[in-house]
Amino acid sequence: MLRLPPFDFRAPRRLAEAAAILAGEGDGARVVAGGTDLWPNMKRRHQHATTVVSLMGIPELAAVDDGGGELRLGATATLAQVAASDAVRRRYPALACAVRSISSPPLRNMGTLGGNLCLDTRCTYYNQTEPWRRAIDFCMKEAGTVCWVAPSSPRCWAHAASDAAPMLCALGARVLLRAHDGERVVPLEELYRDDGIDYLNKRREEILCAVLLPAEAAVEHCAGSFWKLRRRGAIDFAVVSAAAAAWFDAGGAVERLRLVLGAVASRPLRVVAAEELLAGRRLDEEAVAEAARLARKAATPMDNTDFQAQWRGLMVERYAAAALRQAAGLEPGIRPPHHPL
Amino acid sequence: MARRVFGEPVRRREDPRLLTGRALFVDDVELPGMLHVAFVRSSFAHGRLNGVDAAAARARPGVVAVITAEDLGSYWQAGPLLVPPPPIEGIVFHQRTQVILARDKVRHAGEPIAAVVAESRYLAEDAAAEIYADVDPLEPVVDLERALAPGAPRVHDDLGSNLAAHVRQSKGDYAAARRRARRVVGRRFTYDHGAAAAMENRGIVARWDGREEQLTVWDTTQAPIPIRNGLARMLGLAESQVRVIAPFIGGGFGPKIMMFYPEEMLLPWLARHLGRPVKWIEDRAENFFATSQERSQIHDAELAVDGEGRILGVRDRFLHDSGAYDPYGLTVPINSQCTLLGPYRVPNYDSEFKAVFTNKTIVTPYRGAGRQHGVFVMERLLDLAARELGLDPVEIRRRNYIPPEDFPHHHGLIYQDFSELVYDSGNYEPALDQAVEMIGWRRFKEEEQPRARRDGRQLGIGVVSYVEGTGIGPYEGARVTVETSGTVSVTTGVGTQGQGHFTSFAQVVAEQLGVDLDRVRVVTGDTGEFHWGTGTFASRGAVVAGNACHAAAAAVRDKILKLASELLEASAEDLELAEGEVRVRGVPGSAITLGELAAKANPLRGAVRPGTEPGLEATTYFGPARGATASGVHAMIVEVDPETLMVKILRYVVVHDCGTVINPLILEGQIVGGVAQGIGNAFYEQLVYDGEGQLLNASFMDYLLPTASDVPPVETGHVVTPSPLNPLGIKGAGEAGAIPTGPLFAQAVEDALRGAGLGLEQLEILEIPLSPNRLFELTEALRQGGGS
Repeated sequence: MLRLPPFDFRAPRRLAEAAAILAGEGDGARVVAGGTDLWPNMKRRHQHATTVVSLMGIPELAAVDDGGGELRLGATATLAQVAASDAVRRRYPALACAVRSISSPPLRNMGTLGGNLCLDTRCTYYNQTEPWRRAIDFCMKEAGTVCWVAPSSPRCWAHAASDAAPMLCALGARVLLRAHDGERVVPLEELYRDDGIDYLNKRREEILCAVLLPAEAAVEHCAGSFWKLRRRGAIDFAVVSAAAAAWFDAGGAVERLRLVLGAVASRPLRVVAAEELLAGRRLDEEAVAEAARLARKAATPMDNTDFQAQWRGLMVERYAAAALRQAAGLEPGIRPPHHPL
Repeated sequence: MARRVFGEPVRRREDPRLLTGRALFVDDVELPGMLHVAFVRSSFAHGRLNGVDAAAARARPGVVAVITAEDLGSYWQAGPLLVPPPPIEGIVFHQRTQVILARDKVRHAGEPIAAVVAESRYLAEDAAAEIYADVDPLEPVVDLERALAPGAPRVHDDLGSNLAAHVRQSKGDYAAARRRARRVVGRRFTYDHGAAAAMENRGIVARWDGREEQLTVWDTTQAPIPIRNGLARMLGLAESQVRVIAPFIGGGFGPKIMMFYPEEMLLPWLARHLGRPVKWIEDRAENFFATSQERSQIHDAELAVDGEGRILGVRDRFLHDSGAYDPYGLTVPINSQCTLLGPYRVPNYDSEFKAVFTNKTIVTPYRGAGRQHGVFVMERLLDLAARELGLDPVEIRRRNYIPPEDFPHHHGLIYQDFSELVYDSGNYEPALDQAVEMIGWRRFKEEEQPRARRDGRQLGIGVVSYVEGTGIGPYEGARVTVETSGTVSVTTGVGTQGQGHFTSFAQVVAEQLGVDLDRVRVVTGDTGEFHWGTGTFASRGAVVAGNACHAAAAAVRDKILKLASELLEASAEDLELAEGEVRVRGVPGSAITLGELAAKANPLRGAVRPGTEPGLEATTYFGPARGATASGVHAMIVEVDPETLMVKILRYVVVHDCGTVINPLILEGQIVGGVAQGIGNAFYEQLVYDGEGQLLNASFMDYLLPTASDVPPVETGHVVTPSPLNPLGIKGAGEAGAIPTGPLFAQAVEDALRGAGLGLEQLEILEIPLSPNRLFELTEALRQGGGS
């Protein structure tokens, strides 16, 4: 029977108190919100904690605040709340689509936006039963020294699994981090590191408090799109996801565009080459095809999921193209059975 | 007139209890002083077990006992052989059954090594984590073909090889038929079936009452009576000292009739040994390792046809993965061997299989029980032959059906129930016609598919047929009692795992006795209530237990009529049973209720006359000579996205013939549930073992069950060809939905991709399960090959 190991559980009512606990507890302390990632990971002994600090008792962290300009989404707003939020659906429909694609309704009722952004990275050699991991020897993401995806590699190749992150990165979201000694606001993109183990650019005691969506990324200024490949119509993590946000000039050419891939690197992967290629161009079929090829080149899907890397590579191209086409108002070009739009 | 209930789509009467949490499941059983059990299981697929160090675990607080093979003393044993090999000439069968706790050797990952008994499951698990099993890993036997290679490591050291069984069955002269053939198509087929993944995992609670000298066991088994009988024998108790209760069970599908599981042998012994009740509830990871599965078969098969596509003969050689032990005998591969013949005339057949021991979880029947494997081979061979001859898939099937006048149809083989493989009845062409009509075959081929192709959409259609041997013996029994309250009690020995027995058996009895369904109370799965019978498996509950209920109800009806005719002074022919009373037909006011009759049949004064029995009760048994053969046709339309190779099922049609239908609503549920499992098998579910014999996807995050969004609405149609083998004319329906989905999926996907101008004209799908990733590999190989 999978069971949680012993730990201290704290449920502060105020943010300052949570920050103080984290500052005082040292390396063994962890934050939990919905618990849909942390609890199963602790049960499977992927993650360990001496103290777990729940953020769910802190009302200010759950608020969705729409002043008409920047949209502020509290980190402990549930994924269901974000997807159903009038402001998100009206102003950032591509984000609603990305969030709706996460797992299943029960998980979205429990899981939070902040939790999804901090989701542990995943790997076929890591997300396994403990006896199996022990039988082959633990990989470097755990107690071992080797990355089983690429045994000669000095780094871990576990991949980012969040669906909200690529979309929010594309939309240019920022996040508010707060610790006992102060707070800072950074672009979400900079929250992530290209490392399967140490994948967040965040001090351990910093709490992800809110996501800030710029007014310029709202639908009246920006065309956003999100495509996710998964086997089933629910539950599954992305095999590949592609998020695009495009700003067009008066003549219909791309003024600026962000294309961000999920599940193909240890962090949400911006395809800068494609963005540069498209700047100033019309987003027609030819441009889309060229950019999608660049996406495929940028992504290096490793043998770290159930699926063959070559197929995933091809899917990067197809899904990046679909996201770009949709942003340009074209037919997406693929017809997978499940698309959350 | 009494309202007819038999054959009506009555809603399931057990559902309100199930839906409101009032049904008893094994894990609901809480007993004073109850202890909890956790298992230490092998993390290696194959290894030498040198010893178990449990000193630290034994010293932990709350731990009552740690049991290893050594601690079992003379109780340590291998489980019984559930089904001995059938009487087939020249058969080779090596019996190696699972042991309670591993000793000397571990043979699959998840095999139990030690059991910890503690005051709570948490304490037991904590202690289990401190037990050290000293195992020297051995090279595992994983691959089916390599298992039989000379020099391969051996799962069982005392056997000369990993051969578990070798069986050949044949009829006619295949070699001669082949010489006459216009075409011979032969391929290698791989069919892999997976885990049943029932909603409820296994669980056992055992209590020994030392004062009453009674053992009570709550078990998620499909076969409470054989479990009781076996436990009594193993523990040296009288059968009457053991009561096994299989309460509501969250899905069986076959693995819950594997017996005896090691845990099933251990828990009752522990309860007696410790003098306290014990509980073990399997967790989901354990279910993947320790509950039996179905898995792979590799067939090298060929089909010989004449110029018109008529079957001259089939030759098949296949390997079957038994897993580490073979307690269920040869049921699964024999089912494959026999069911391959399908609804077709096959004058010459030569089939030979080798069952192979591997260092993997035990293989026993899971819904379909090997039938899928055989049906896949035959249906694909027919598709290949049709293509070579330029025939339509519908036409080649039609030309080969056994005609309705050719029943009973003798196949000349031995079936899993040891009797000759004989189809009792069947009428296949009307089902095909109906399925083709419902799916709109011609319209699809002539209009929809070409139109979709013009729009850049790749749609495909498929149709397959199958038969399902159902309702095998030996027998089941039932007791029907009219209570003095007027309610009717029906008791039978089979257990229930969601089949709707509480409704369908009540319908059978209510029809005979003219009572309202709400007045019929059905009890199943409790040996304290009824202790003769076998269990719920092989699509036999409705056929065998249903007919036993019918016979018992008919006997009670006779008693009612006899007594009532005396009391009402009317001849039995003039009486009718309706609305819970007996009336003289056409004489208003001349009625006596069944409750009053029951009281008069068990008087407090006077005598029960010689030759009669007290009460309105009868116990009757029904044992069919052999199984009734159900059949059906499935058809499907899919859309394949050539860019991603994702597949969407647009339509799914099932036309089914299971003889007389007791309750169309329950039948529909059985079929749709089976189709969902068939779709899982075809495109989502696969148990992935690595080279070390480790199961790589032992969780629902990675073992992909189809969800509500992946299973389309299923349209059903019916043909009714009653079975002559039982009075109700019933055939089983439990496995029908799950059997032919694999070959249907393959045919429809091929149809979508071939002829689409994608360079995939040579695409052949010879394996199940598929995935978009695997379809990519298959299509990519063709595109690469086409270029060279």
